Amino acid sequence: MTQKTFLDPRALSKLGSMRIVSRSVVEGMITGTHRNPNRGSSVEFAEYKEYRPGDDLRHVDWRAWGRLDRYYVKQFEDETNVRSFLMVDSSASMNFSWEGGPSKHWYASALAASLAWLQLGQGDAPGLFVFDERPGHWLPPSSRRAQIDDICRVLDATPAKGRTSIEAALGRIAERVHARSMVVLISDLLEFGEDLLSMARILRRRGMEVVVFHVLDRAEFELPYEGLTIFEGLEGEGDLLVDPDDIRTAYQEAFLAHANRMKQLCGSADLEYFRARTDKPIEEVLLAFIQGRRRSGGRR
Amino acid sequence: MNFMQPAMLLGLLAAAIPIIIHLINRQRAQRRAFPAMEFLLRSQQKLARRLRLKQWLLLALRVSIFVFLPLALSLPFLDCGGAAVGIDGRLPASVVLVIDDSASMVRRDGVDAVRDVALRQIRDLRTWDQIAVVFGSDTPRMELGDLTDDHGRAIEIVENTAIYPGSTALDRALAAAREIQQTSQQPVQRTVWITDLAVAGWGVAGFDPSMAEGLGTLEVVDISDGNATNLALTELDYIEADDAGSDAWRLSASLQAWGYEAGHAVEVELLVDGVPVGTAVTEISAEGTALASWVHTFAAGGAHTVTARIQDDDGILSDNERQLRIRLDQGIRVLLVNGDARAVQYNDELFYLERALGASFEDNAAATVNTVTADRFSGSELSGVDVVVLANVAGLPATTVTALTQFVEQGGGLLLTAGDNVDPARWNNLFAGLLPKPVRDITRLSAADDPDVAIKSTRLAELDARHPIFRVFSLPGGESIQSVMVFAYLLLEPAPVDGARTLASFGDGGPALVERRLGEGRVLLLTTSIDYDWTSLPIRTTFLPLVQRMVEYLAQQGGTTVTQAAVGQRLQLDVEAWTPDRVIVLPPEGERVVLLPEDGQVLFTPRATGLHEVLVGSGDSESAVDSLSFTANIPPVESDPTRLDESLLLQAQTVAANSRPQTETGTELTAGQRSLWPVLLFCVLLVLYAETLISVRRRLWESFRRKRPDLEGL
Repeated sequence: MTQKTFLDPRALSKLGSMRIVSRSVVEGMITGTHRNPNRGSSVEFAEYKEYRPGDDLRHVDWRAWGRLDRYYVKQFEDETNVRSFLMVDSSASMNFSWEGGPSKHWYASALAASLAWLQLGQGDAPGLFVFDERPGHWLPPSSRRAQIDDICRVLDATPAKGRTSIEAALGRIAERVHARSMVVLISDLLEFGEDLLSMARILRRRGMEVVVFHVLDRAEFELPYEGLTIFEGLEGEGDLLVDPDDIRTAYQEAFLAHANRMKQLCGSADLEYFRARTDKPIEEVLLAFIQGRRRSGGRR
Repeated sequence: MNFMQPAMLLGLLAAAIPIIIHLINRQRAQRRAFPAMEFLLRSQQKLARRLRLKQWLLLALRVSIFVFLPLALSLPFLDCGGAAVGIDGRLPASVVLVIDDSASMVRRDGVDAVRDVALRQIRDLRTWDQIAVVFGSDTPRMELGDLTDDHGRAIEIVENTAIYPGSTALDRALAAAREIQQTSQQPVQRTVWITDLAVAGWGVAGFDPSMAEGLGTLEVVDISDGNATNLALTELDYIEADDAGSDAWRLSASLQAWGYEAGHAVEVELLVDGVPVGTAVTEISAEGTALASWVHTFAAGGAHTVTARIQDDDGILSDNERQLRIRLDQGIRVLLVNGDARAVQYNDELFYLERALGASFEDNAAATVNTVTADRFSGSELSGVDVVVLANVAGLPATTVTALTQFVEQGGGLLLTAGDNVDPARWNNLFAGLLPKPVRDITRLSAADDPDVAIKSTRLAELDARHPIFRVFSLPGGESIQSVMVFAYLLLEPAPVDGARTLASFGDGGPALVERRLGEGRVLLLTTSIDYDWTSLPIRTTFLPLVQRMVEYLAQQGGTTVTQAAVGQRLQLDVEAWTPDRVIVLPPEGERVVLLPEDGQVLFTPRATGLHEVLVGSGDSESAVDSLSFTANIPPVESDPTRLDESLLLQAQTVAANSRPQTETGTELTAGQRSLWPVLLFCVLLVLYAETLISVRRRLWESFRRKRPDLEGL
């Protein structure tokens, strides 16, 4: 079996338009299919739901009414279009790159665009939500062909700036998304904590599938700098004059603990967690994502 | 704390360099935007105390390097006031022993005291120390003139040390020591001077403290223990005792005292040829002199060795005895044959010659002169005569000439002088077997009373300066012989004659003095007169030494004889009279010394006291010559025990300390001072090591200290 050669993110970042980038990524991949977790008019029963005005009376389970004296509506698993919300973190911390490599923001954008391509290709409806400390651009999910152009245009036009507020972004998603959807969070997770996790759990309880892409830069966890350095926080954390040699080990330990904790928290909240290193090809991340979904059967 | 190089303390300003570099580095720190600041800040806060401590420690170490280094280079030392046992005392040292081995070092304990001190110095050396040994006698001996680790060799040399009974030349010895120290590669130089501190050892110029320059630390070991008393025999002499009979001699010994009480009675013993012949007691004043004398009649003629001896156990022992060589029958017997005797004394042919020969010769013995007129000279008078002078003799009977010829052939000397009585033809006929060259004519240039005599006369122009007769005229003042005017002289045939040679010529080229060897004897022909008729020679100062040397030469006796000499004094022995192939000197102890004559002379420097016998050798035969033998005594100056001024000595030690040869480390201190620079340099090394460990190798250290986090999973 010949090993598949993926596009180097460093070279890919020179292509410019996110549309071209994402298409280049997706075209080289095997188009994966995934089962649509949304319920529709399928013959395969999925679960009951208490009747509410407006529900189709055809799906009322009368036998259940006979037993329980309450109206329940049957829901069926269907191979329908998936509505997904691609949440891209565009805070200033995402604007980091090392030694001419792609920035985390670019990588996150390319990853989001590639996912959109994949979803559109199999009839799903991707939407986009770009956020920093405040909610940014919002593109409702759509399966029309022009959706990818809109997504790429927004991603190309959105700079990385400001602080991060993932909690606010997830709150916004929770407010605006009613149907069962897939929420894809692409972020460096530097602000991710217990509060956010509770919000993610709410989304899960509402039937949303939450996928987290943790974007990492190699310099972030290796701290490969030499000599006395003034580190400046990208989101206004202040400055620090230090010899990296002095704190490298302690820093690496702290960062590794953080990354592992993210993975552990996501696992405990039934969120899918993927690491996306900016020095690794985007295809690898996508393949890991697709293979992961295949293993999980497309739903949780 | 004191500093030998205080200017180096300016280097302390360099202590600001690490601080400045630290500040510059802060300015030049790279600014980098970084996303995960929270983790950086958390890590930094966790390590803050340790990092701050390390940074301060590094800064302190770097500053201390620039503090310790200038301090070390400024050569700090502590004045402990005690003996020097500091770090210098443990560093490898080059030690030069300067041993004063002159006669004045012979004290009560003899040479043992010197040996003991020197051996103690050598045995105190560490195995890594180097040593050289210089002896301070008048000719500095460097038997171990190069610094060596072979201490055994130095001990061997010192154990075989014998006191040299001569003078010292300590200035040259110290100069030799300085040259040796200049070759030293050791960090510490030390010169140990073993001496009695006698001021006489420094000659007329005296001791100059600057002589100690470059000697390193100068240690003086005084073996005299401060004793400056001495009683010495400084001179031994003899004269004929006219009032005590013809064979009696008055012998006198001079004494000198230093540091004795007035009225000190001294007993002086006299020995002749080793046999005690008398004792004289004399009183000597404090710091004064005295004379002890004896009248002695020698039992036999010839040469005798006279010894004077005193007992003085307190001071210098080597000057308690002096010896003298006396030659009783060394006067030359001269027969003057007067060819122009006059009633008026100063008109007599021999008027000037008799008076010149009557004066004392250099060895204090006047010649024995007999005079006979030519008409009474029969040849029978030649018995017991060394030299015959025919002065302006017109002629002699043939038998007398034959006797005269035999006399010369058997070793006698004949001097022929010219005058108005000489008829060249008759002389050529009569003295054909004696004349060095035939006479052709008489050249008359002027009369003695001619007003233009200065212009008309000729002068002595060319002399054989190497000949024993004229050698003395090579000395300053000897050129006055050329002022002698000659009004007339015998013109000789130019044809060469076997065994004849011209010793002096006139300005116009005519021979003035011609020599001929005949059998064992010699003939000299003076072509002008011996009185004032033909030449102004008799009234010139050169007349006396000239005729005395001519007579000595004809008598085949040395022109210069020595009866007593000082050890170390360079002697010139005239051996021309014996025409030897070699001259052998037999010192009282030790091996015989064989010398080869040059221009009839040998040069010899006695290096021991006592009788030195001299032999002359030709071919296989060797014979002792009493007239050349001599005694040697210690130089009188060595008897002076006056000590060197202590302040000069201290100055010398200061000069030595301040002008020590600068080595790589350049640190050597005088007694009582403890240097601190090695400690400081050691501190610098420690600090450098610590700084390297903390800063340069910290990553390596970290890798050993703790396990690095595994980032592969990210």
